[in-house]
Amino acid sequence: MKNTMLKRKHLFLSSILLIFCPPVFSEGLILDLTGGISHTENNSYKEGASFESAFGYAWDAVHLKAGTGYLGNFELEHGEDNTDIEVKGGFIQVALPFDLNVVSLEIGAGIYATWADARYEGIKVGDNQELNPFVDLRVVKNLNDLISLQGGIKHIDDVSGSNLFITNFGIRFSF
Amino acid sequence: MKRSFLKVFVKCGLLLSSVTLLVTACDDSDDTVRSDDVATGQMYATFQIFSDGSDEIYAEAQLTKDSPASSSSRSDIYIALTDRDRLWMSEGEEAGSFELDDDLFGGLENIDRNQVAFERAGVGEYFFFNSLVISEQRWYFAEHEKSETQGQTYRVSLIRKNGRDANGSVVVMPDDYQLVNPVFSDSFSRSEDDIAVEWSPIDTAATITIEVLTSCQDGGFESYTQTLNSDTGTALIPAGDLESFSLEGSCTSTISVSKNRLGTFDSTFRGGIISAHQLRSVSVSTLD
Repeated sequence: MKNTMLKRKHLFLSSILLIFCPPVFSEGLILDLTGGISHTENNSYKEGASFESAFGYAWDAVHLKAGTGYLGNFELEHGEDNTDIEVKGGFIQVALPFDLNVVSLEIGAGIYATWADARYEGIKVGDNQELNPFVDLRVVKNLNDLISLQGGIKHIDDVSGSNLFITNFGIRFSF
Repeated sequence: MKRSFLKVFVKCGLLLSSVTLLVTACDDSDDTVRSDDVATGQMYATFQIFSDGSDEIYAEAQLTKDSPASSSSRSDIYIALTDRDRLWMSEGEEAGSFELDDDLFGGLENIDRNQVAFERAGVGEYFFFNSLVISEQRWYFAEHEKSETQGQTYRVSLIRKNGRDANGSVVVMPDDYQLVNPVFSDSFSRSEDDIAVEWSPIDTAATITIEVLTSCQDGGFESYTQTLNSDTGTALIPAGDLESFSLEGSCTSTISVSKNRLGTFDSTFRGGIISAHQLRSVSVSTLD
């Protein structure tokens, strides 16, 4: 009984340390290149393809990044041809890294400046520019000192009337 | 374009399109002018909206400068819409400038649900038997999911970047109905039988047009038209009216009934017409 209590206590303390004690990372510049699938909360639209690139600096405790993204071209599921909304933009992001030994986990948040254009049968019927907060959860696996693989999910809040969800994979270069 | 209905008019379309292909060799001939060069107040417009009982409705549009389109006139000037001018059909709602607000995703969905843009129709496209457009000239076509509401109002809007919009042309679609008599594969003598055409229900606000296209295996072809000023639910095609020296033996006659309503036309145009038509048809066999 006492051993079980001790094990639980150690597990709890380990978890606290894992969450609140930043692991040791090598500091330096990072370049992220990712591609994936984006979809809208409004389910009248088809999925789109997204691509992002970001450049930043990684400190031990925090990563700071800025980048650009093509967030997708969303066509109406049962709409007329050439009827879609194209979304792109740029962002800044802060991420907290946590070392899980095999991989590292990054929890990030930031602001996306989005530009959206709506076309109906090829005719532009509206555009919108706005700032949208987002959160990002990412798993990174170091292959060597230079290259890492990464995969993650991103939620961008209320982009021109609909939340966007992005699942992407990519590569990170560290310098 | 809905093929099932239009099959009825294939022969008519083939005949006319072969003629018009010879006439219209060039894309933009001297009798066509760009809409940029024409004020809305100089335009005559023909807007027709058709329902054939399927899940779709179809609309035809044609614009001319200074004078209404006429099949007998060679001096008519037809208007070709540029990217800055667009015709739209919508379900009752007034088509605005289509400048969406911040909610692009919701706004675009609404546009797609409630309205449709006209597209350029090609020479040789098939058309409805009571169409008023001159199909060998520039004309426009739109297709949209049919509203389940009876008595639906449809609106045709001309939206212009550099000119006066004209979005006040509206018309009410006649109610759905069914042809009761004759029925498919009935057989009649062209010379000896009266053909009673019956449909239900009636629409007191509609006028009726009946057309019969008769085609024979040897290539013989004739058309017959009858117009009624009110809808009584019946029409009679007298014995002998379908008879012709060009028709011999067993032929197929397609009897089409159109319920027609005229709408209110936007006075921003110089002139024109907007009308709605509920069409039903049935094919029967006819003998000498």
